[in-house]
Amino acid sequence: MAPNNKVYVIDDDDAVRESLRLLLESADIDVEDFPSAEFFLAAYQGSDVTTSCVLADVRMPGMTGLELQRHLAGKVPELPVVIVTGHGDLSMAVDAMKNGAADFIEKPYAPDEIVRRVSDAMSSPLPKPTPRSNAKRAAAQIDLLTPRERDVFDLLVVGNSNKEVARNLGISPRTVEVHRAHIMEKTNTKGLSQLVRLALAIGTEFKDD
Amino acid sequence: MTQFDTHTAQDITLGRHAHDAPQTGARTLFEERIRQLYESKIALTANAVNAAIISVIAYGEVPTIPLALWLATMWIVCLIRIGMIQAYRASPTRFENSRNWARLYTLGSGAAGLIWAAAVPLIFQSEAPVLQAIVAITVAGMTAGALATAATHPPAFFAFMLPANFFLMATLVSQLQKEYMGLALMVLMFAGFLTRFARNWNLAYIDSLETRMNSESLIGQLQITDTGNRMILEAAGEGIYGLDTKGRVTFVNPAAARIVGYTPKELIGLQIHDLIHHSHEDGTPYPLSECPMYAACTDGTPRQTKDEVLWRKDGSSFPVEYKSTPLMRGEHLVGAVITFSDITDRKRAEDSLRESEEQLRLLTDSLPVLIAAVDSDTNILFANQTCGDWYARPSASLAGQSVKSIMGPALDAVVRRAVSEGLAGITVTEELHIEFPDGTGRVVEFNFISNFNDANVLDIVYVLGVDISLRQQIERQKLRLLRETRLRELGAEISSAARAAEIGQMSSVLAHELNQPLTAISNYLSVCQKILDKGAADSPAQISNLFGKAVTQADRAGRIIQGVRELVRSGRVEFAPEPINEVISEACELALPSGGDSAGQNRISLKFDLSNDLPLIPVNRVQMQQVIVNLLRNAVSAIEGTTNPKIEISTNLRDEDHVKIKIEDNGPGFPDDYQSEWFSPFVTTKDQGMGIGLAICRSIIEAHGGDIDFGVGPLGGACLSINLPTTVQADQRSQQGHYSTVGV
Repeated sequence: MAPNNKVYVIDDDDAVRESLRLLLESADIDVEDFPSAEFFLAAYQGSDVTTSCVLADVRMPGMTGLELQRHLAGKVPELPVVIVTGHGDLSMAVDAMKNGAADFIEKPYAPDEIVRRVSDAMSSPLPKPTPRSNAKRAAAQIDLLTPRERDVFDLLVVGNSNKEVARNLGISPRTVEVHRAHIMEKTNTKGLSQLVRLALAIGTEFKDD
Repeated sequence: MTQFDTHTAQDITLGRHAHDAPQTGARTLFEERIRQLYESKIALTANAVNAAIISVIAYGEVPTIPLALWLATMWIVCLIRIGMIQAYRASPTRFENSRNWARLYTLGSGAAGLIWAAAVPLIFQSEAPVLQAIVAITVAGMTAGALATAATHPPAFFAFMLPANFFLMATLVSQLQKEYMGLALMVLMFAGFLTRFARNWNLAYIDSLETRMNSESLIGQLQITDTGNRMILEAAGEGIYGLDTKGRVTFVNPAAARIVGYTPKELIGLQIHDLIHHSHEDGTPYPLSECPMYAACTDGTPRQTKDEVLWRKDGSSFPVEYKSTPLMRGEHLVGAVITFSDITDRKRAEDSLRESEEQLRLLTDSLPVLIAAVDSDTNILFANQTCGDWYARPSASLAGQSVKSIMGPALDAVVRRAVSEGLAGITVTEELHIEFPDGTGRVVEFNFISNFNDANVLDIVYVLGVDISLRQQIERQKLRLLRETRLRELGAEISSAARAAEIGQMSSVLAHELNQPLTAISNYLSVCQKILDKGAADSPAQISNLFGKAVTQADRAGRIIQGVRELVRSGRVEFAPEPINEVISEACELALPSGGDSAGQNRISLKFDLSNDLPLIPVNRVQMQQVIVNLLRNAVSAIEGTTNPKIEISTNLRDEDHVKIKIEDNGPGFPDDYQSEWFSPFVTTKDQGMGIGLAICRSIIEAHGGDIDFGVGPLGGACLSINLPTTVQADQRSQQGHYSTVGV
């Protein structure tokens, strides 16, 4: 198999895997799918890593998506890995980001959204060791936040849900929602994964829990 | 009644016991009489002078030599007797040797009598009648003189009188003339009179001497010899007076006089019994012979009396306590000292003490508490009525008995322990099960209070026994109720918590399980849409295939739900009539621990308006509580961030068949766009809420045959109202086991 632009879809659920493949193919993306991480690793011959991408479900029997991502980060660090998470797996996704995952996407997702995210991951190379200017810009964006927003930001990017942030700060989840919207607006980000990336850019200390 | 206290002899400082007196009692007086005998030398001078006068007159009439010898003898005897007086006065042991001195004096007196007797025949050798008359008159005069000087000691008088007058009369009679016989008769009569006088004078003298000595003695002992004593006597608040042996007042201190209303001068020398002690309290006469004060003067036994009265000058009387102490001079009883005090106040105090004692007794007897005083040997000193009742004995008969014999060895052991521990300063409390004579058993809590006397020795242990059988019973009952309630609450909590956990877990599994087919459906349909959008619908079979796949996934989702239904269906639900207010209160405890205090950073004001006249409602308690807890938690999270957060819960009878429960808050209320689907599953305003809470609530309420509705309450926030039927609905039973799955 010659190296090509390809999305490697890895999901243990046949229906999900198949439907995802059809969905991505309908967006003219070349897809190869595997029912487990082990099958993928066995079949993977190498590819044009800059225009390929791995889309792996976080929960799978055997090797999980997270373990696969770690494995690949060691072997083919240039290959972007996008993690698909289910309900309550947010902190795992953040861990994955910390370990160099390109992105994560929460289930349930809108079909267009996943197509867009996968295309993004395939077209833009992984952020290599973060350029200084990048960090500076990130820091400037973070400086726009009020102290309270900064608190909310710090808690969100380590994988806390809105509710957990609310409990932590002693405020209502609705207030957290408002803060979150302001943070997104000020930092010009969409979704949690971009927030996490921003945090990574400024070198936020991640908690290892 | 008069009481003589003869046990206080050791207290008496002035007196000695009377039985010492008889052997030597007269000596003191005797000594004084002998001292008086040696008081004067006038008699001896008279003897010498008279003898000289007689000799001068008779010189020449009678033979000179015998006359000179006679005069010389007389003078020598007089000189010797003067020497004796000097020697007596100089002798330090003159009182001890009084008897010898008395004999010596009698001897001297007798010698003088004999010499005068010798003068009579000597002078009668002269025939001159004048001379004879002079000698007769001189002898008679000297006899009278002897009476005057020796009246204190009659033997001395007789020693002089008998020889002198015998020889005079004998000489006169021997003249055998009627003139001389007459003279002899006159001398005899004179001697007889003198003898008679001698006796009377002697008695009078002794009497006065005695009186004088008594007062000297009293004054000497009480006043003069010690000014300190005197001052004490004057200043003493007690009345003090002295009596001589006749019961006459020898001295009296100002207090004594004041108390009885006299001045000291009015009393001195008088028989005081007649003035202040003449009658008993009831007015009956009190003879001197029965008077204890006077008795002390006469028999030398001290006495103390507490229950008599003394009479004042104004005729009033007062209760008195007095002590009558014999007064000794040397070992001779010379009277008594009486100390007395007005005990009106003390009597009054004693009366009121007795009265309060009676009240205390009445009180202790009427208390349902065993009260007993026990000495350190566990003998009962006092026991109240309750003690008597418990042990079926008259309470008065318990005093003097041992604890062991009345209350049994078990209590005896405890009392002994109380005594020993009381000594160590510990108050002992003990719970004992006591079997009583009437066959009943009680649990009695005993308290022991140790009492230490002035010498800091434990002398009494007070035993207080409270029958706590009833109290224990009540406490046990309370405890049981408490435990039952707690258990029930715990049960409710557990089942509620377990159910919540179950639901939480189920939700999570369900979410994952449903996510998969839904994602697939969404993907398949999205692919279809894209194909159709591109206008590339050249392959209807492809579209159809994709739809088929989506339908398969929808079926898969349905099967997952079906599986959950099967899972939940296994639980049967029981309905029982329950007090709905109580159910609500317990639910509040669960939802808002410590009354909502910790439910948020603001203190939530929780207001109940629960109707008191609600019937029991057939509900499943646990599920109903789950509904209330759920609604309350919703309310609590809704009012988070609200100033003065409020929740109001009310119940009332809506109509005769329905009870209405309302839960209102002052939060933001329901968002408008949620209202139509509020009770639908998975609809939530909470980030991570599953949105199944209200759906479940509705299911449960509907299964109870009731309904639930929401709206805007008077507080401005959400208002959820539940209507529950008061009787079991026909469809309620048939729905059992189904309702709980409806919303899941």
